[in-house]
Amino acid sequence: MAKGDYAGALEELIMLAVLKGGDDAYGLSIQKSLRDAGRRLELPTIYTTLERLEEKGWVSSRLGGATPVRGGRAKRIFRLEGAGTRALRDAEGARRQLGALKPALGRS
Amino acid sequence: MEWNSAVDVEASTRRLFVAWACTTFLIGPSSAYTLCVGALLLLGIRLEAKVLRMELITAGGAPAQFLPPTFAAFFLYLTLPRRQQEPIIGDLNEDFATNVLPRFGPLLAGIWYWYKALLCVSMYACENAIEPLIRRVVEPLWRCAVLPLLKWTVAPVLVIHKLNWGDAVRTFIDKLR
Repeated sequence: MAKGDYAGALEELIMLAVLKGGDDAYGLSIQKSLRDAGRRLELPTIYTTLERLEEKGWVSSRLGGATPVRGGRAKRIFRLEGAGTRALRDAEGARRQLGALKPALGRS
Repeated sequence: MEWNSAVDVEASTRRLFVAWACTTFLIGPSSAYTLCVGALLLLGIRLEAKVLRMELITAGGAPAQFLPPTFAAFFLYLTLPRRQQEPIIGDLNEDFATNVLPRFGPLLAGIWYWYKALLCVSMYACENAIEPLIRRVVEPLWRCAVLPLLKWTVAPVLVIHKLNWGDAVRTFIDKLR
């Protein structure tokens, strides 16, 4: 498997936050979801990772409407794509497989 | 009234900034006149922003406290990558108006906004400017010039002095003299 084919820890977290956000997952909502999960990430980190995920084709984005509270600035709304869901499932599978090694680790 | 004051401020400040840049280009950066023009234009930007705020309040638009520091937003606009400008400034504005301002008040909220703006810019600078600079300039220079130079000059002296750094450096300085 090539290096870019699997999700890193940060990418996985952000994809999960996008998944949690549903149809209205944008920078601030993703940051809030991650903060609730105990991860404090700054907006540039989130957007840079999302851009990387978009290049991989795991998420897609579109510009949303501008609201007064945002000072007339548009939201960038993200959506998890099929490839992203598959990458998340792969990561989950790998974690489960590795989890099976835990008892062996305890014995040694 | 439609909420487009931020865009208006931005457009006008951009115009003023372009005017200042053109003047600097035409007259020369060292000219005192240019500095004066720059200062006046910056003063103009401030005044224009203030007037727009006042207009917005009197027109019954969004409350004044929804407006984050104009200069910080403009600073972000100038420095962030084009693709990230809209979402990041918008997210910061939203966080400012909904979470920070009601909880901490205008002064601390303003400081918070500036802090976030500087943080964002420094993070992007590290990623887009400093890191490529190290990767493309400093690292090859170190590998192709500094390391061979050290190998040719310091290493033989170090070997002669049986890896005694003090003697090696002393001999090296004597040689240089």
